[in-house]
Amino acid sequence: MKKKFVLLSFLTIGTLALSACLFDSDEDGLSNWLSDQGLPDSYKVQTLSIEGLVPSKVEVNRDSTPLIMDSRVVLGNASNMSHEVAFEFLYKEKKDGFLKRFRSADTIGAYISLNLLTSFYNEKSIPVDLLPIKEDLKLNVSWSLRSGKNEDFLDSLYSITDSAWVKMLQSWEPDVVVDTTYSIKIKESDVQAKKKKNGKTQEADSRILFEMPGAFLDSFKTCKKYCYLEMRFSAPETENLYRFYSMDSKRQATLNLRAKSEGDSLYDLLMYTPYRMANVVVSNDCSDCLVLHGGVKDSMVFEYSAEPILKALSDFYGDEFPYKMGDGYDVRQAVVLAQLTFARDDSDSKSYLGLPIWVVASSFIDSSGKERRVQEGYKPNRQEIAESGHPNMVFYDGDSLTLQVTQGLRDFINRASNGAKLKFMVNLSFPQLQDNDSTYRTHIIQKDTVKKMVVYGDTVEMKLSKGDTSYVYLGHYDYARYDFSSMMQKPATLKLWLATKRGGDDE
Amino acid sequence: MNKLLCFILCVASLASASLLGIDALGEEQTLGGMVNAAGRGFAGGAKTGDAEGVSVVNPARVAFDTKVVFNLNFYIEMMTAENDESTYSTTTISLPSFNFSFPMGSYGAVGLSLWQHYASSMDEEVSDSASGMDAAVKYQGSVYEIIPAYAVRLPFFRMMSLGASAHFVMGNVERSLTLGPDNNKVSKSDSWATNSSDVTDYASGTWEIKNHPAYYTLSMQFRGRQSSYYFSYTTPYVLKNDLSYDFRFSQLDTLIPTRYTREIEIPALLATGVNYRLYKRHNVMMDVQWRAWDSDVENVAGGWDMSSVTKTQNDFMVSLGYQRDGSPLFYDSYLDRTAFRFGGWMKSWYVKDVYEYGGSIGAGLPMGKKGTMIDLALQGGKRTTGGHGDWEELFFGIRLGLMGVGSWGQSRGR
Repeated sequence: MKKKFVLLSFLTIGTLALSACLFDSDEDGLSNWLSDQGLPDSYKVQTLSIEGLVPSKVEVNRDSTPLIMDSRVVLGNASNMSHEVAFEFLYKEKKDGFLKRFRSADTIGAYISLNLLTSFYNEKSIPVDLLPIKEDLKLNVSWSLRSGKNEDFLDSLYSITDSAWVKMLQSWEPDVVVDTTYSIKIKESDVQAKKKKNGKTQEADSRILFEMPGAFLDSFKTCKKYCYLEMRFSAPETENLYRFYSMDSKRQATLNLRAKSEGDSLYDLLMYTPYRMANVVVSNDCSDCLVLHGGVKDSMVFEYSAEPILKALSDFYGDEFPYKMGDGYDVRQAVVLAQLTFARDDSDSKSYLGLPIWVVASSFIDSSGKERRVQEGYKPNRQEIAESGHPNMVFYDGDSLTLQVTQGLRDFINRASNGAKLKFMVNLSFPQLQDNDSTYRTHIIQKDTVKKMVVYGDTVEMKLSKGDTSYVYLGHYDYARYDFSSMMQKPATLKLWLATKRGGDDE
Repeated sequence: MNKLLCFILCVASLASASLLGIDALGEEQTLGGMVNAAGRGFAGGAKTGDAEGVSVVNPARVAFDTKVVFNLNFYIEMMTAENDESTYSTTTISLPSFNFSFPMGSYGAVGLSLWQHYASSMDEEVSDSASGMDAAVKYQGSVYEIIPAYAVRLPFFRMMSLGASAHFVMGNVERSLTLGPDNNKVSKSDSWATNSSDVTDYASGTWEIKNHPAYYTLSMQFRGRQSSYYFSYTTPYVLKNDLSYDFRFSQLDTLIPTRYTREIEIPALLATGVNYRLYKRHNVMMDVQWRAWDSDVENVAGGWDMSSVTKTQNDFMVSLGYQRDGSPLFYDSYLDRTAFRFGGWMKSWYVKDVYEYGGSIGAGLPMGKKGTMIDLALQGGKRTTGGHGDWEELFFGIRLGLMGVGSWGQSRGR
């Protein structure tokens, strides 16, 4: 047995020695072999610009669907949009019989408490002054109340799904509508945490209390053991947009009830949090105006006819486009990157926070035979960003908007023989904080710097301290309004970076 | 057992090393790459014995076996491809076949083989000197055959046997070419867009036979006192390769592949061989195989500057070998019980102007009393190509076979 192993060992060692000595490669050996087989070791990048593209169809999808807001909610007006707040309360009489005392009390009251969104109002990155705000807010308070005596009633309320509630909000008719006026005074100090004498920090009391009208108290008295209260706030005349915390926060919205009878030294209090809250948006812009609003799910879908793009490709490659051989799926070339540049004019548009806003493109592509929308990736051109900022922003210096639509172009050329068109959607996303920082990712600022920004024509200086975090986007929407009308009147330019499998391009 | 199967499948997923015809069918594993045949220069298709096992070109031979045989064949090949300017070397491991045969006395014998008939393999990264980008090229193709065989000795003429086998073809092919950008032809201000953007040209497909479930081999074997002969005929068939071509940018970002089917007409194979017993356990043998290719082989290709076809030529192989059989007596010395083999071959490939010359030595090393054997073969040679500047290949290979022999179903004294 030993002999066999000795023999096998010798063979193994001999093989390794042979492989090391005889079977060695040149540095360019494989590369030369690939070349001789006609296989490349890199793809030659080619660029193609196609000018004069005008969309064959532009469709605006105005968002009118109520949006359930778990963490934050807005009330007021901005950009021809009115934002109303809807509350849903489920009330169950407890064993202590508060409702009974509420009905018979000498003095009763109720208010809705909403906490200002301090993370927004304290945001240092916003170059405009958000506070103070002082106004007599005309608030339209409306509600409807249903009550029941048994658990089945409550169970039927719990079974209302979010989607059913949202649908209900769209056609909701209140039982009572009351116009009220509230005096609003918010100073900067109201939203800032305070340092106490013992060195501890006390959070800001940023509550705004909306006292409920008498009619509401009368309504609530009719409540039996179980109640379902649907309430809505709207402020159609204000020019402000108030931002509040919603339900999923320790500063959540609450309905507070109080009752006091003769002989009571203190008010009997009851606090309820909403079961659901939503923003109901009413747009006063025309439905087919080429306008997008920030903060809501407005979108605009662009469609470009295939002919000019295919003709340009045909002229460029000298081949037939669309590709019609076999099943017609074109894989002769790959679009490595595609970007579409529009002429931009911000003069008919309005933003509120003084920051540029990122325009997001999403392409409609095929996915296993079905149309699917995918958000386009964004590859930053770092040199251009350092010189003139990100090209995909509005409300910024410059006169163009460039959107990357790489996946859309890949899919369009791939399926052109089946009648595919270049189709993509745009919407306004978050305000940009790294407008000319090519880092394009959250990072820690390494040294104190002063950033100069042009805000509504004025140059504003913002201090960035060493150790601060530089975020890519602001975590709050700008409820801006952007008018694409003039942009659509001017032709766009499509630029493609291509890799082709066609041979014979070495010279 | 699961570990063994897993190992076999892993090794089987690798394939043989030659780069010739890599975009067509790849390299053919002659005679199933069986180690005992390889040790004697791929000759000995006519050699009979107690436990020779299945031959993929001569199914009739197994009728003369008296023992159950299971064998598993591994192949390690070091290959260097060179032309006037460059050299490229690679090492691969493959599992060309495993075979099982079960003699049933007067009822004949059955066999079953899994044969990696054609294979192409490459998995390399290369740095482009012009752009400095790394490219990755991967070829992985296998035309597998599952081959049930049956052979029987004629009732009144026991020196003669007839055999037949059906070759059920399956397998797949994959070519992946991941490339980085070469921005030399674009302006500097445009190069940002493709930096670090790799694209993968991807082609993949499956193999089957067109319009038939299998192709067939029929053979006839004569075993004389000193000499044995065989003659076999393998039917022509058309290999069908359903391919899809795609560009891939990431796992989720791909184009809809375009589909294409290439058809390859494989001609009929004629094979014959003779084995002559010189003295006791000493044998000399010679085999010849021949196929006349009528049409070229369409490549995977589909772009770049690659050729769309591989031109063919008549595929011919002649091999000569010698074997000294090992003694069956356990009490003999170990060297006496060891089988020794050597041989050589000349083969013209199906690829035009490609000729292979090789030689080998081998041994069958008995392991214990029950006839289990490790077969070992060392082989080396050269594959020449026609034109000046073409790539030629030098190869050195080690084949290792595990042969298990049993006497299931055999009664004493038969």
